[in-house]
Amino acid sequence: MVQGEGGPPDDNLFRAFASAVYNTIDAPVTWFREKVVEPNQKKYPWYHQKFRRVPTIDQCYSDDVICDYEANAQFKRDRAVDSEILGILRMRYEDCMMFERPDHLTVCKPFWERYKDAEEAWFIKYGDLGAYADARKAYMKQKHRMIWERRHGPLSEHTK
Amino acid sequence: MMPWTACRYFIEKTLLINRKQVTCITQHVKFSISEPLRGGDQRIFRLTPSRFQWHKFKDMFHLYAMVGLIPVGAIIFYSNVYIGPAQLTVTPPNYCPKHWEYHRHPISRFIARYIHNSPQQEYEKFLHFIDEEKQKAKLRALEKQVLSKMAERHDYKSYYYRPVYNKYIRINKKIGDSLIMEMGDDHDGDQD
Repeated sequence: MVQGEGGPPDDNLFRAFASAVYNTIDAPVTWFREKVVEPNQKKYPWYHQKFRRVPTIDQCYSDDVICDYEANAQFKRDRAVDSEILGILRMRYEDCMMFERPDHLTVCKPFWERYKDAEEAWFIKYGDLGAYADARKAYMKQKHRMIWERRHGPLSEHTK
Repeated sequence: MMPWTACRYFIEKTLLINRKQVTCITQHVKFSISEPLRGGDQRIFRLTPSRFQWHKFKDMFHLYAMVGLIPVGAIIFYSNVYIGPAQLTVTPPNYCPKHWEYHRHPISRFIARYIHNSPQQEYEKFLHFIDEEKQKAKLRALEKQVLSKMAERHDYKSYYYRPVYNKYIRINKKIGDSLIMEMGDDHDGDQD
């Protein structure tokens, strides 16, 4: 419900009525927040944790469990970050589509292209690895893909 | 659980026991379901449906409100209104934030700071643990390999006991085997 900060008073009776109904709940809550809560809250910082890069699985000895575990943790973090990025691109396309419907197919095309490229790249790296995905499994997947590409030619333009 | 039950039993039977002698009074009582008309000085025993569940509900509600709702609600109200969540800021250069400063809500920060170990500590503890287990596994694998070689070659009684240097026995055995291969194993014609 758009309340707005001023401007000419609204002539539309229905809109005024709907806003009034909304404000029976919203106005006390907003008043409480602005007058009681926010003045009393303290301002203090909260930081975003950045992890150092550690050697990846291809740089580890085969019997080095510590290197393996760290590479695995890094792999899981990277996968989470990439999934979030993919989600953001998807949200951008969906917002554009919902706003521009019914001519979203032409207007939102750049978003769609970008999302599709990202999705393909995500799937090449992380897709089809199963529930117990590992850094080692992803590495082996890359190896098998490269062998397949050596025999059959490039898989997609993202892997050239 | 058992020690607590025994404790409670002991306390009730010895310390909380009521040693007063109760004088029993017997009297005639009239049973009634409803309020009678005022008259006579007879005792009335009211026959009413049980109000046990209602009393129990009030009791439990009172307990959970006093012990749970009100203190926890007060803590949550105070932490949200008078402390409030943190603001996301860029990490200043040359500053290493503490592990609780990565949480937003004041109660999460409190728990991360005073109750939990830091995630880095737990991570490094786990790395040490798996490294130690891996070393043990390597030692066991090596021992297994040594024992299988001993079983295959039958040249050592055990790997901690060396009566002879089997290196020379192995060399002699190899030479003997190659001689037999060349000359054959027919020894009867030697005594000529």
